Amino acid sequence: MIGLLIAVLLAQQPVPSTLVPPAAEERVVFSHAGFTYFVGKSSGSVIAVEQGGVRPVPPPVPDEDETKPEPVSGIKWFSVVVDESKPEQQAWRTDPEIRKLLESRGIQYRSYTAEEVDIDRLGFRTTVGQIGLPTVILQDQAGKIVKSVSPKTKADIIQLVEVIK
Amino acid sequence: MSNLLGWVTPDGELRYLGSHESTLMLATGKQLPDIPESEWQEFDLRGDSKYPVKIKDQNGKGACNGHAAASSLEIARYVSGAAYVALSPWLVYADLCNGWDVGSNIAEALVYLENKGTCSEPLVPYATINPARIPASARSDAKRFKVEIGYRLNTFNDLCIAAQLRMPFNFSVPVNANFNVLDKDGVPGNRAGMHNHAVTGGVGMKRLPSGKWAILMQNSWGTQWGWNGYCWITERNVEGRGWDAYCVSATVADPSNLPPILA
Repeated sequence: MIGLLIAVLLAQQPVPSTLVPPAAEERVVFSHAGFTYFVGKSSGSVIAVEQGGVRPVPPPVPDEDETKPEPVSGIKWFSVVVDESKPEQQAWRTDPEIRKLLESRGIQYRSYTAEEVDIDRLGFRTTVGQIGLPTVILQDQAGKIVKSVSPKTKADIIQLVEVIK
Repeated sequence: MSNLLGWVTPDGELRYLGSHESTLMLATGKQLPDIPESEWQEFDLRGDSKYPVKIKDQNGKGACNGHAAASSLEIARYVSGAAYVALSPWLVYADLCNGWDVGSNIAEALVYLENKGTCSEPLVPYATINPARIPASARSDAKRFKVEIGYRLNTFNDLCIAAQLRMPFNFSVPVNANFNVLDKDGVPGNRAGMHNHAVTGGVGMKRLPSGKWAILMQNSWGTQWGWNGYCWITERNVEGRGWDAYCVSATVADPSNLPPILA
């Protein structure tokens, strides 16, 4: 009850006024001898800033290695499963550059559309469902999946091939 | 042979046109994806220096369907990344015609390839059409090389979409008038008519200077015909009656060429 009375009394007291300086005085700006000068029109204050002295801080450049896939080894089979309604993915299937890169590494290349019965025969359906299309499945000699990813572009596939040791 | 229409090519060879209008229309149960023309891209599989598929020659027989079917499977195997094996058209045709050189049709040939496959080429002597002369080893080997029939293709637009999908296809053309005469773009001068010859497509596609699209047709009349055995087909070249066309993909029936099956 006492607390309530104090709160009511405080609320009735007038709020004291305070002089707040303008956030920014109107200034004249000019450059000379490598400096930029800001001169207050009413106060006459002068601020000199060395030209080029204030630079925006660039965002950190990502390390190129961070965008590259982790190196993988022991790959014998490189299977690409594409969405058959996407012509740009279909074109990867016969891309000579991809084939040549894989051949030079002694890796067998295979390509399928997701609708083919072979996806079921090979047991790829679950992986394709989990990864989404397109899917690249890397298997070792025994058929174990070493890696499975969903590349966005042909460049992603090339990059993946290039990190295979 | 009297049932077959003979056709003399520019090199003086008599070829027989052996594709019949099919009474069999396969219900594949699948809808061909609609890829708008604005997304079509030119391509030519032969641009790969390692493209292995060769032009076949049915010379003297009405075996165009056997040849088109075997060629489609060879191309489909290339697309899938499988090692090249020259495949026999004669096993397919011998069983379909049962020793009588009366031709066959596209759907029959592809159903045969889906169920029985075809063997590697050396296992059946050239021009064998008597099924009794097919060695047992050929029939056994054929189990390694089969197709999966993809979509029925109903229009020239469908042929183009199948090509964009890198799915080789067998299709019929009307061979008549100036079929042997190719223009500066490699397009035959035939006219609308009864479709009487089965050929293979899906090897390439290009836009002609006129702005029209053309598909690369692989014939089976040797490399002397057309442009090294090929020509470019526009919508006009496939007008007429008796249309039949299906696209295919290769299957991994070959155990010696199989990615390991996941457990």
